[in-house]
Amino acid sequence: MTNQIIQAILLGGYYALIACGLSFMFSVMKIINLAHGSLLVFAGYLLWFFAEHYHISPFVGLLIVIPVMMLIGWALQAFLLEKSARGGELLPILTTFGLAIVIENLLFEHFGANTRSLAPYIGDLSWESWELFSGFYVGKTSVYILIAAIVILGSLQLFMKKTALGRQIRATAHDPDTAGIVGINPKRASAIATALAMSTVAVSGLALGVRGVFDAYSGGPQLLFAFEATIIGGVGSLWGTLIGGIILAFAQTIGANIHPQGFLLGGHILFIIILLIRLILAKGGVGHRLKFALGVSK
Amino acid sequence: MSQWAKNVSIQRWTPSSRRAVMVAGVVLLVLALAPLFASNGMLDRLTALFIYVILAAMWNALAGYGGLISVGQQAFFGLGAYFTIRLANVGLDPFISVGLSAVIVGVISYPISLIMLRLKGGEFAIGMWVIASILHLMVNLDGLIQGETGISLVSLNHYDSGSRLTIIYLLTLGSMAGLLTLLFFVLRSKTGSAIQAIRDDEEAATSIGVKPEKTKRLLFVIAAFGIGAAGALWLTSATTFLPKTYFSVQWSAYMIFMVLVGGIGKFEGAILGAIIFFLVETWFSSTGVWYLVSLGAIAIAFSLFLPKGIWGELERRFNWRFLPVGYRVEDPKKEKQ
Amino acid sequence: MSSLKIENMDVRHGQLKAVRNVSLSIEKGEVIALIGANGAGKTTFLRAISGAHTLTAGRIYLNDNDITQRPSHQRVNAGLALVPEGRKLFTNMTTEENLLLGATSARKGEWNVEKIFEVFPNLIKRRHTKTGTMSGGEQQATAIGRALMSNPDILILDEVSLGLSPLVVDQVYQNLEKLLATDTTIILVEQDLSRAMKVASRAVCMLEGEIVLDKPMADITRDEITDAYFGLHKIKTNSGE
Repeated sequence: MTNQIIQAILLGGYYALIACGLSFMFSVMKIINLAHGSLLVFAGYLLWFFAEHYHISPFVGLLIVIPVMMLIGWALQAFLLEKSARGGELLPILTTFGLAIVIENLLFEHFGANTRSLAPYIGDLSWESWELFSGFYVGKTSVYILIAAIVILGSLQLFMKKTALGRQIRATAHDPDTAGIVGINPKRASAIATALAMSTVAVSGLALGVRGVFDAYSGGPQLLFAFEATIIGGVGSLWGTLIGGIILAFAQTIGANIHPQGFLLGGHILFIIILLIRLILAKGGVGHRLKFALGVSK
Repeated sequence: MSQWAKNVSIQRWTPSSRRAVMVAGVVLLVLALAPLFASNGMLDRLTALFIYVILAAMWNALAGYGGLISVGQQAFFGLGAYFTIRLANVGLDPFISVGLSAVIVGVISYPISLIMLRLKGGEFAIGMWVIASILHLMVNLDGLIQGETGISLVSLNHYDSGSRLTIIYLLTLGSMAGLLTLLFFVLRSKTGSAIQAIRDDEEAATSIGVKPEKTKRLLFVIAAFGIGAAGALWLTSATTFLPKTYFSVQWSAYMIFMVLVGGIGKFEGAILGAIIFFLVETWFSSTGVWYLVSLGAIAIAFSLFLPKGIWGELERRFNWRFLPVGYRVEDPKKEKQ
Repeated sequence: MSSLKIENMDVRHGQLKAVRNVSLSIEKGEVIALIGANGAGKTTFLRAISGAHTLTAGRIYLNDNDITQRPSHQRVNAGLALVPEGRKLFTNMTTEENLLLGATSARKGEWNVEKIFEVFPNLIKRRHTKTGTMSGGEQQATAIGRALMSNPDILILDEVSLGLSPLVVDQVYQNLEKLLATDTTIILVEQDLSRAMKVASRAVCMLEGEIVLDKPMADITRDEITDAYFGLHKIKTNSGE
């Protein structure tokens, strides 16, 4: 029991980590990037590629892959999102979904159907563990992933709150036209935000490969996990994403206890329950009453 | 002011649209007679085309008219096939199972709509994917399906292979015609005008008393019903139900491709998109992965550079209007110019 | 050398021509009152100057540099600042954050957060308050302060007193007086005619997208402005012919 709770928290750390980038882009730029999962898998493949062909440890590989992903983020913003966001809020959904299809199938074309993992390239670390207390072990990688999630979420939060660039990104998210009038280059702010989100995607790719195996089509499920963690935790709150990830992992653990195939179902059903709660709260809540009052006053 | 009003007339049926409906009728008639002269292979391919038309029209109803982009419509496609298997398993005729299954899917979609229509934009899009995933996993729990191994619609064997093909063909043709007609009249009705008002400006529409929730729900249920029927029909022609294939997100990719290329929010656009997709598939699907890469890339290109699709572009250039789901204001002075 | 020069500007709002063939030249240190009824094209004109609207024709020069094609943020860099109609604050951020955003262009000058608080002392206690929850007067002061933070050569104030109580407007203008004493060029839109006549050195009246009157305040009568405001001068000239 205790063991399961500890494992769920660690798994939640992974979900929070992969949700960072999605949640960041969603809260800051109001864009749900449907290619998030595929980009994450792409980062995983890049790390695998450097490890397999150039014997670069995936941790060192991050030094290459993070800048590469940031560059991709910048290009994504400049060539795809910038233009599609101007066409209304629905267009980015379509373009990022199209992008996901393109990336997935290109990865399949290039790397084939075999599953890959980064575990063989990190030496003993992949199976090493700490004994928390008698009989309870935690895998070192899982702990590192949880720490990475906390560090990344914390520094994103600090960056957004305390730095001039963070303020500019928030201002652009709030109202890009006014941001321009104030002297902010909205394109630059959005491109930096996307690049930042993609840098977290690079780290997520490492986590994905270190924890287990992936193939070209692993992006879909990763996108769903990241999305569920984001929504459960509450959009716009980066710390909420951490809580959301852990709650999602708990629901999956409970699901798996109920039925051998209930792991994924548990998470999804919790997601729906959260939506239901949101619906009920909205109906009787302040927002609804306010709308009602405005409707009457008209 | 009064002079302006005198010269302007509001039209629904233009001569060209009357002609278009007549042509559509003739085409349907010829297609209905096809089993008399077409080869089995041809009928089989046409069946697939009709199913694509249904899928495109339904996704278009949701996205183009309801403003709801979903990447989870495979939920209803898979469910339609699943319930057909389930009903046939209790001894119902497979073809009656198809119809009943579509109705069940429509009914199930109602409670789903209560939750999902609360979501906006991208949240709705991925939220529907989660729904598809849930339904997929639940169907896998059914012992009858044997997980991903799948199961065949064995009761089709009651029909000999020749007549089976013809029945499937005619049933699919009939379903397509029926669903398109249903959609056509819904979009033309008062509700349809409301739907288009919402699409153009939800706030303004709400302020004049249109209820977006209700009309969106109607579209959601119709789309689920239609896509459920499509899934059930696909099963009859493919005979085997593999949950993974039917609940695959690829169906959503196909629907998006068809509608974007044909013309989102255009009744004729969805049909054109389905035909184009059908041709592309016929010619290029053997290229495998590159075919899928191109579908994605073309969808991106269309949404960025030709957001109204091929039909929208044709309509703009040649002032075409065949199937009148909206109204058009005719200014005779303008035409003379 | 004129500080801001506009040549034959046309701006469209869809089908509507909101600004028609407007030319205007403003010298350094001038305070211009831009006067006109609602829908006369003032806001569109000012937004076009600040880069929030694209021109269909014409040119804009700032300190003799052509800025017509430049995006908004580069115009701020070049010394132009707009206090937009409706204030357009970043409401989920604090007063201080809004002010700091104004300094994004990093132009050299005397303005900083402390200086803004000196001019608008009513903001001091609101330093860490989210602007969305503040009163109209405080919001307007923040919006003006935010624009000043870019140390502009030209400050454009669109509808400073809109939605504010007379008492608060007095306060805002009291604060503005210090600013008027500096050599900053100012264009302001003000519905209260007597107030506009008091602070401005020159009146520019717009009607249906065109400038119909442009004179130094000293040579102008109240009736002249009212006539231009309602388009009465046209009728007079027509009947005179």
